[in-house]
Amino acid sequence: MPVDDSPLIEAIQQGDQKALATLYDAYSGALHGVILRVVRNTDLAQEVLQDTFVKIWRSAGAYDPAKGRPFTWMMNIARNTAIDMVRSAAVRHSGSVRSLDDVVYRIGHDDVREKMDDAGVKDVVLDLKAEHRQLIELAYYQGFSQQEIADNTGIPLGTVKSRTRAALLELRTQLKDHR
Amino acid sequence: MNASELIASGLLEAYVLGQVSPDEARVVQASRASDPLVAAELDAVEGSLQEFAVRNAVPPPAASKAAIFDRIEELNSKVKNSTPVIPITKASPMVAARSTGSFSTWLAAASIAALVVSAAFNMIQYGQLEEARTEVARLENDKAVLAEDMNVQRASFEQSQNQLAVVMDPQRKAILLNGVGNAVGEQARIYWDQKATSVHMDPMTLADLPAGQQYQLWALVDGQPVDAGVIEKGEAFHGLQRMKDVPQAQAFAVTIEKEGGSPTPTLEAMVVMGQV
Repeated sequence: MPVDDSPLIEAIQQGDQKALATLYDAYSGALHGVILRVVRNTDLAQEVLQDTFVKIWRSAGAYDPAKGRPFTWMMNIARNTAIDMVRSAAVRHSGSVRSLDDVVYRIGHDDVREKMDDAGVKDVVLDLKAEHRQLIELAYYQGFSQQEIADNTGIPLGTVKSRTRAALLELRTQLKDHR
Repeated sequence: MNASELIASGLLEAYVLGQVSPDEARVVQASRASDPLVAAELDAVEGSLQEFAVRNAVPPPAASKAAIFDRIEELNSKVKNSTPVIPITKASPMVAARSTGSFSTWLAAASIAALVVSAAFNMIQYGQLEEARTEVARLENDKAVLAEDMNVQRASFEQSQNQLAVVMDPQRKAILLNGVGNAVGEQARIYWDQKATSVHMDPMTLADLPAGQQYQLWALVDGQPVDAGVIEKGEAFHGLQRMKDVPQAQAFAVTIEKEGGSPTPTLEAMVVMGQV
């Protein structure tokens, strides 16, 4: 059981900058890692990381412990900020949002992994099944809904749902084994 | 959905990944508050994603932290120094002091006052327009959600009707399959039309299987198992499904096989069985 970060969020709600610094020291690397995997560009990742912590600072009052633990909340802010950045950058550059087809295609060809390796980003958990890795990639790092994944991969929605669970169970088991 | 169904459904994982609709999120949050099993499972899912992220951490450049706190300082000072809107009441004594009876100064003051009033009125109107726009967008969104809901309900109603027709058909024989071995307590039911030889299967309380495994139905004919098809996974798992036709059988049994099924049953992996 990790430490409970809720008191830090409460302190931030009161305007305590030291609490934010503590959160930064604990999680900036984890959030930066997630962001890097989404934006795949070190400069953009820094910008998103800064935006993320400014948002954490400004919207700490909106954190609701009934919805999830602080890290999940912070990670969702980081992820959404990063995904927004990628999608708006894609619109600026090519006039259209990168389609999921492209993403699926690239994952199929392991291009993503190569790019991540280029940026010095290596996954700790490498022996996930390919189908599970694909789902975590699409859901977690690309922000696609289950319906979008089903529509674009041809995998039935029910299977996407059960496979997402299976993927996270496999992740859980492997994290335990690596401990 | 009860706690174990909710846990097996994959909805909790989707919730933590931010993939659920607001309605689904409310269901998950309500269950988390009322059911310790659901709360523990959610915590485990959140914990594993947190640990995954922490293990895959990439330290940001050292300058990042200072940049963030600079931006926060800037935000704080903006809030403190933000120039308040000059209240109209403070402006009027000034105008009054300068208006020394001359009609033109009075006129200038009156026109400024009129301008201020008109500007304020415009602002109020603009605000109302924005509110109306937001309201329209919200209603359109609500409408889309309702239409979507209705489609889902209609599909589910049609499916229920079809299932009911099978269940109510007097020509069909209902055979209850009871759990054996480790699966004692689990139940499934077969609806068999012996004339038309068609077989429908209701997996009832059979547990969801992990990837790589699938349930397979067997008809036992004179002591020999005959393949009657694999049971669909995913959405289709929770409902009645059509299996292969079976002309004759003395019993039915379900085993756990590899995904796609096996040519012969793995008898030690039998979960439920029932005599005709």
